[in-house]
Amino acid sequence: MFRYFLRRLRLAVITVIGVSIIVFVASRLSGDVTLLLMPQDASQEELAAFRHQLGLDAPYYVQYYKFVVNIAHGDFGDSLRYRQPAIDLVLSRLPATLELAFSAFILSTLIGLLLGIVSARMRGSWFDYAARILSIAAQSMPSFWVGIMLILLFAVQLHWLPTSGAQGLIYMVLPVTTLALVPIAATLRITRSAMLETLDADYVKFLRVKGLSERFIVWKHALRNALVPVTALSGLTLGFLIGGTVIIESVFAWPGLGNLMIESIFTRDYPVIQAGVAVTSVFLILLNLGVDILFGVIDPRVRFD
Amino acid sequence: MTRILLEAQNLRKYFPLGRAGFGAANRPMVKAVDDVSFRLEEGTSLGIVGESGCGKTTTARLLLRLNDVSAGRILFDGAEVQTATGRALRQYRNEVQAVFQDPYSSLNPRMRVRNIVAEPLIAQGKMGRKEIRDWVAELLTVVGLDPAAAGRFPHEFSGGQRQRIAIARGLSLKPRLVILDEPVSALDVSIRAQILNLLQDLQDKFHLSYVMIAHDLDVVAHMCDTIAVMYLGKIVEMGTSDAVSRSPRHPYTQALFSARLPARPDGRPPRIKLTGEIPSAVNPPPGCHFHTRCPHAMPVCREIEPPLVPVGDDGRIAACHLLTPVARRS
Amino acid sequence: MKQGEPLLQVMDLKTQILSRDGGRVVRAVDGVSFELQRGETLGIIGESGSGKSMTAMSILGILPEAARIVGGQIFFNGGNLLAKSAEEMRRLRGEQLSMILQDPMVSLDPLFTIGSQLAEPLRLHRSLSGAALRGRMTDLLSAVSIPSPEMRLHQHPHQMSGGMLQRIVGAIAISCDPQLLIADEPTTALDPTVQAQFLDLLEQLRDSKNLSLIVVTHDFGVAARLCDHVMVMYAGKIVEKGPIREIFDNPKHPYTKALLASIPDATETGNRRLRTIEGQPPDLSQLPPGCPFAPRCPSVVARCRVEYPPEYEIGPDHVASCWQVYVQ
Repeated sequence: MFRYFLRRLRLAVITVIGVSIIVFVASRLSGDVTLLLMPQDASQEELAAFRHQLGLDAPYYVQYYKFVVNIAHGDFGDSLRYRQPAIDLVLSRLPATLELAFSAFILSTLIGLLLGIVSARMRGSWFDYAARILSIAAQSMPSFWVGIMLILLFAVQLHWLPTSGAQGLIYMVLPVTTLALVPIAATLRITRSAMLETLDADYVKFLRVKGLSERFIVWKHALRNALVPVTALSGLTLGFLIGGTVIIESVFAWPGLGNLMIESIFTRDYPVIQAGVAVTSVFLILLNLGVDILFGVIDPRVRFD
Repeated sequence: MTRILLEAQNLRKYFPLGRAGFGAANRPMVKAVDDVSFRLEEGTSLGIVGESGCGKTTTARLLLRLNDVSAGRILFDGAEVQTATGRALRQYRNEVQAVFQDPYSSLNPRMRVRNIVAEPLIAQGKMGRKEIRDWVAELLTVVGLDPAAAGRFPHEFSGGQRQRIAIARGLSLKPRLVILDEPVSALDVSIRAQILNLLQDLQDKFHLSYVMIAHDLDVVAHMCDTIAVMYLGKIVEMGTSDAVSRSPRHPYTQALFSARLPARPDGRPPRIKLTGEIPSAVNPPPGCHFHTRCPHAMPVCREIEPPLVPVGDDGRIAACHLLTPVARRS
Repeated sequence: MKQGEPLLQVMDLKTQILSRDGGRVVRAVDGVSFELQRGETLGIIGESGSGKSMTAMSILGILPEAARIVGGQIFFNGGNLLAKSAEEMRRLRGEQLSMILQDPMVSLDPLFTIGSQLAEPLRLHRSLSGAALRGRMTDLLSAVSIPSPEMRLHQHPHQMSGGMLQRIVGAIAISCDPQLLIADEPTTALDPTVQAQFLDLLEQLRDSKNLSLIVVTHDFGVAARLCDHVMVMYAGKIVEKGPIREIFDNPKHPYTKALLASIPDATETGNRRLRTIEGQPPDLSQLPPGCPFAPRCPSVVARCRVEYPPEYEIGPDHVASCWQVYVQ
């Protein structure tokens, strides 16, 4: 198990390095930042001096090296807009995003699992059909539309919930619900099909031969087997959620990292964009490492690979 | 004078264990096939028997060039083919075809029978469409199916019929050698006889040569002229089918034959019971690989690997210290 | 022959499978009757589609969802199993009635340890726990010749070979001392020498625990090894049944005869063609009237296609259902 963890850790580190290269290249691809930042009438010498000051005239590998050294110290430079260290800005907005993402994750996993199990047990019933149709609907509707519709219904028409902002728990209800819809659907469908497959398997037949009750079989054996693909899915789900908050934060004016990123893209605030992407990526890589470990716990077959 | 159609010389196939990439070259190896040699005369059948992990399936894959050999040579009609590429390889593939074990997974369920059977021909690109149609109809008739089956899908047929389709496919390029990998073990008993008879008829009709891989000794002994018994990557005994089945000499062969289920309620002589499990192919026991389970193991068996040499005068070879005492050789 | 009331009495059992769309009905078991005395070993021989596995599953009450028992009775120890509630059947299963499945590699849950799965019936039916449970489990594993049993309890199925797994499955099946054990193709997925070892084990378990055994197989050799009596099934019906020697020496039904004749024997020399049974196995949802074997039978007569023959007694305990036999 330990060797398995080390292997996954090694892969995670390599991925982080890969991400750093991509971030570095991508931010340099979008054009010469000097021209954007300097006034229109700057002379060539002023431009050259500015470039030199930003270190943009050094060869690429030197730039990359400096880039890596800097980010290792947490230095992404200062935000061009806010004149604060980019990393501080990013980190200060991160908790709000995580609030939404994690809540949606937990909610969607629990509900998806539950509905998926019930759906599988009641295969062919009205419940099963309804669950499947609703899943497809949920996965097909764009999240910003759903968000806006929910605001219209619950905030504007019914006045049950606030329209936007983040001043308390009640403000989380609509955005988390919107975020969670797609993962609930995906988890439900995967759980259902994994359960059905499992319940058909020969070892379940043997479990029945032993005299174990159907409930015991479902909750001890089938569920754990169904968790295998669901765990695999959760890595993707987390990625989807953390990325998806960008849109939701816009719709609900939620002061999180997503909102900051959109803003930074529009204002070409490179240091913040870089910092945001880097932080998000590392975070996701760590989360996926966690998922991998969880996988090893659930499925003994991968441990001894 | 019958010619040697296929000859395997000192075939070895070692699979490195562990992850690819950053590891050293001294990774532990699974010696799936460890110095296997045999000859096949044209028009005859060679049966390779053994249990799980003995290397028989890997040997078949080497012959089919589905895996590359780690060492050794494969000679087809005198020409080396183990490293052939391009045109030479395509030529070899023309001559050597296969029929696999599971009739349910060896046919693409989305293809019609005529396309399944004709696929090798279409891949070679040598025949015109009308010619192919006629040839497919002929092949289906030859394997005992109605030519109208050409337009149907595999799931419309039973296991035995599907295996016939697989055989038709195997014959479509008019090969000279067909590798049969457990061709009947997934079929019902009553169908097995049909398919075995069919294979024999086809062999006579088209002068085919067979290499048959199986773990069912009765089937192999019935169908094949020569039997090779494998254990953990090595051949332990090889000889004519009659000789080996009537009087097996190597202890493993003896155990294998005596483990066969009786044809009658009290029909068999007392069984040779083997102790223990089949050892892992990664760390085979030193000396003779079989010594850990052999009822006649001697001290020398633990240390020196017995050579595969002729024993007796019926043309067979075996690797056992009991049969070729070390002292005798000098 | 043991006297007294039979342990198991199956009377005119009929089990059907409904296809998903409700259109076709497969008569998987079509009027099967037989008895099993205590301590006896019965073989049910047939090919795929014969109904042998469905018969076994009907007895244990573990039919797949689409299948239903539509007629007949099954008496076990005097009680009618078909009249029992699901809960009562559950209590019998694993304790008095048990079963071994064909492929050991898929009989166990890959995610749980051997110990966890071996403990389940013991906890359920015997309420064992703690040290007593562990002791019983290691005893059971030793009884089936598993080396280092304590270590095995913590291992997972994928770490073991097929032969060892099948023995563990055997240990689980007999863990609560059942009276009846059904082995469904227990050796089909195993290598020859491992097969032989496992049959030894079954024999040994049967003798030491006075088990009554039903062995479902397509292999006459397995039956010859273990069984006192056999019944041959075809298309859901029993075509012949009798003591093992009788069936081997004096088969009367054309299907039995053909099946025995089509088995290759390595020690047989000369004649290189095997005797075959022409045609294909029947489509169980569209069985013709009369005897289901008629389309393939070498001795068929007109009556065979019209009416199913009754059981005709050939000798003590030996019956066959065939018009040719009847005529004689």
